[in-house]
Amino acid sequence: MAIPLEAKKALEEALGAENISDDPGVIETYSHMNGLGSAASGYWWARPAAVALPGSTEEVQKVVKICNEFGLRFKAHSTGWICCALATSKNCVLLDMRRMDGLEFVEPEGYVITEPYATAGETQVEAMKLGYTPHLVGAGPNASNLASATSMQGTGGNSVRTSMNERNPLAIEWVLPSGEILRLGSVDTPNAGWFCGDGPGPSLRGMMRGAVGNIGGNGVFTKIALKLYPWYGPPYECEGHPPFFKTKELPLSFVRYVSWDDRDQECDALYRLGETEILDYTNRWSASALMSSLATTNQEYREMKEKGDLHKVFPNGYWTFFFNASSKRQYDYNVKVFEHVINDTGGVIVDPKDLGDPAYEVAVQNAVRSQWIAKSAYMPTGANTGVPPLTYETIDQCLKYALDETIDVKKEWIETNKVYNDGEDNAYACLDENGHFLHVEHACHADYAEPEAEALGIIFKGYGRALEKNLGAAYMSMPAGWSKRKEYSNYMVAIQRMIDPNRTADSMLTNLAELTGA
Amino acid sequence: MTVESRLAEIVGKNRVSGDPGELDAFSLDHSYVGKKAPALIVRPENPEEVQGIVKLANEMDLSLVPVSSGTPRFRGDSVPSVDGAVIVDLSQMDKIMWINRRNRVALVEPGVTFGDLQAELDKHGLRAMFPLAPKSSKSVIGAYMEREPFTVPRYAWDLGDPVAGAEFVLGDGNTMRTGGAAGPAATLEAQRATGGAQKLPMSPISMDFRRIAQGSSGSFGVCNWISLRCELLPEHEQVFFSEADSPAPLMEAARRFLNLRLADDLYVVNRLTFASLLKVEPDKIEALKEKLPPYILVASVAGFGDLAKDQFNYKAADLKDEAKKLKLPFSSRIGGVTGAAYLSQVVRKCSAEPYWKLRRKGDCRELFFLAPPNKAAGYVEQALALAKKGGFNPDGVGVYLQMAVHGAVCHCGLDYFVSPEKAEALKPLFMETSKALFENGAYFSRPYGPWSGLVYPRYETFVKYANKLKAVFDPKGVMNPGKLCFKEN
Repeated sequence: MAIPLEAKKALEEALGAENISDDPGVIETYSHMNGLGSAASGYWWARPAAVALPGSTEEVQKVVKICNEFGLRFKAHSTGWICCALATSKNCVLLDMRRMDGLEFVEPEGYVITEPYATAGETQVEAMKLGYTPHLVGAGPNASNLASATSMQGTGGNSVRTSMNERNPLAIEWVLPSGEILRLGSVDTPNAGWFCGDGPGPSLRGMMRGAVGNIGGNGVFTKIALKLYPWYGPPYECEGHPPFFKTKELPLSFVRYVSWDDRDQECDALYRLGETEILDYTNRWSASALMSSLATTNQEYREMKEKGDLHKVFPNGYWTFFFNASSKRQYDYNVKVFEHVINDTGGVIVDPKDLGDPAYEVAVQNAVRSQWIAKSAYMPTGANTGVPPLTYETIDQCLKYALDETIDVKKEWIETNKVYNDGEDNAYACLDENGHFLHVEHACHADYAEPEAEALGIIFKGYGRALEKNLGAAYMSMPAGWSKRKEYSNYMVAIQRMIDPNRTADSMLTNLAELTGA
Repeated sequence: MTVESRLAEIVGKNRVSGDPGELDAFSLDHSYVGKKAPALIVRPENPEEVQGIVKLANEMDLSLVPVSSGTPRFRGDSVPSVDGAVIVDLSQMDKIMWINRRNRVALVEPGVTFGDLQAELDKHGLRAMFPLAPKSSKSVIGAYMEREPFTVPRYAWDLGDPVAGAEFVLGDGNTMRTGGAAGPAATLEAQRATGGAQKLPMSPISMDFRRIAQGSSGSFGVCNWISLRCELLPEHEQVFFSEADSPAPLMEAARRFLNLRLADDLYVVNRLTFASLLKVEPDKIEALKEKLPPYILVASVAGFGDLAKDQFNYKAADLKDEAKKLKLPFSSRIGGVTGAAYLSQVVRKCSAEPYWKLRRKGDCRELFFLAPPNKAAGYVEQALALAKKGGFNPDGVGVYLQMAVHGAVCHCGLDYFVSPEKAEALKPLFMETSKALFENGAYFSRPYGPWSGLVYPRYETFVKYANKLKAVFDPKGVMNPGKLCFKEN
């Protein structure tokens, strides 16, 4: 829909005309996204009415107040990884946060204050110079850390050390749908800084998000502080050109692929490895995922798949394990206990270098930089979506129960040609917090030539199966799960109404719930 | 029918008390919250009874004050703010519901103390995360729900740790489970049938009631049980000490040791706190104190799980090397106290009686807040200078500095050991010191009692939304009204 002229004028006065656009050509570029999302699908994503580029918290506040005044909706869009970053209401003013890309390292306290458009990758580059690393989400170094910490999910391979991003925020600055600015934690205490996000008294972080965030429906998070974790080595360096960067030597670092024939032994090993507390990165992939990272073109991927060499090496998927030690003694202990556990549980250790330099680079760049996207033909058919399970709980639940359920669901979609046949198992998983819990998710590749809703159906099918089989509380975050336990969703709706009585925020979850009758 | 008889219908007559002596025990504590006696005490034995009590409170406009721990109490959060309140004494709900070694998890009710829990965990090769020498009656849930720091900062990813799942009766009388306990299956048994173990700390549906409830002094509901993350029990363990004239170099060392993941128990205390933890009689506390350096870093090294001895050896060797690099003394003995003695008396131990904070003078007033670790020493020095200026001997102030959240925050605990008759006279200095520290950046993340008036005027929007949030879960305001930023209703 067209934005009312008076509203556009007000936005131009607030931000400057150069930072507002309702040009159809510009709007169209905000209507397509990875993960089965585009306004053209007519499913639920919408072309925004206008795009605004605020440059400060005060400007965000002005936009939100104008939206309230003119009956418009708003949604923040930071680095934009999946379709959730799109508008879902036609009267939405999409806030492209690219002008708010500040990073401030607070030393010697050892945390970073980040704005929405600062990426995990640039945070890490600067952090490593100071002896730290941030948590890196699996979406890659190009993703906003603020977005996953406040509004989405935030898991990554280094979660075994750095947890997932629900657990990493310190103080928070939040423009509510009313236009008020709410700050959480220490920041409103004079001279305290941003080192803590809970309290004073109750922690209102609990109304910000759960295992999954409210995907833009709670307002705009304009600034947060994030924990940093130690990085023992020198800053990561590489040479060469994409897609085949060559990593410079990382002292006291260790990376291996490991596979098991037996799922029980695999789970036993993961529990024990978690308890050793030696790992900085863990990631379970299928042979299909490794091929799509090694291949540089879709054709190359298909040829590798038909040849099947990697499926022979890793018929049941495999894990990448990485650590970076602080001393020779620690390194030696880590290697010794790692090999002890793997050998004791029937695992097979493969040095990635034995599979060639590209296989080593995939392993080490993923482990250190979460850099799997740029060098791969990951999406051989042009779009991908996550298939449930997209959950967290114990190692046993995720790997012994959820994994096979999702493969079963996906098989049906492959057989009816709704998604690409990538070998069925394309699940990825990672340990969190020394194995205290595990995250599992499943990639699948959809073809743009197919009606999107057809491919999208696999998500709903997967959610339904997961709920039916009682596999993980995180499922309940999507409207498909709301009806399963009304005692949760009713309170979430009440909180949503409390912070957004005029329904000004463009809430994907609320819109989706209405569409699906959840 | 009277309130007493309605409560008796829910829990039985013998678990409702209006005895003046019992009521008096809940009317005052070792804080600067004014005396106010409750009207009744009710002692539920299960979640159904808790729910019945909360529903009755909604029906009869009662004020409920949930209490888990026994005496002595220090924060004023369990002293009623309003007349006619009913204490919900949860100490009878003392079941350890489940321990699972594979998933390193235990489920406990509010009446379970740290001593009870660790005794059972020992049998499974697990350990709980202990606050520093908690009182023997300290409820595990009471500590964790108020975000009490624990002594192994390596395991504190978040201030809410180590709570994973939980079950609450909300202020409106409904029940809610959080984290991995939330579902999708409705029962814990059904969750476990598909490998679940109530391990996930985050909750579904884009909100987390557990996080809201933590630090709220029971203002949102009553916690029936929690699942808590446990860690492996060390097979090899030794305590080391370092020392300095001021806390600053020891905090720097502690941060370094934490970053290198070499130490388990890791904190800084002054000599008064150290001596009070180990000795019971005041003269023996004084005697040990005189032999000790002003500040002491306590660092334990542990080996556990696979190749435990190898792990212990590399950590101990690296720790000694790091201390040498920092030019700090590092030893397994200090002031005649061996690391082995400290391990057996303090590490994962509840305080012997009387509680260590009351041994020296009979009373203690706790002043605590959060700070970045690098600023903690400065706040300690500021507080001690103010004590001296105010006529309170700084040597009579215990100091405890405990990092959490992987070193992002440091709990700064200042214990003013004082005689009961002089405690009230200490109040002006206590409040003046609190105010000066607050203005200088000390973050009172748990602003109990008079601190609420200091902190919340700076948090106008926060207070507004905290109260709106309370209205969502506790629309009639029955839960502990008048605490923190919440109105007395």
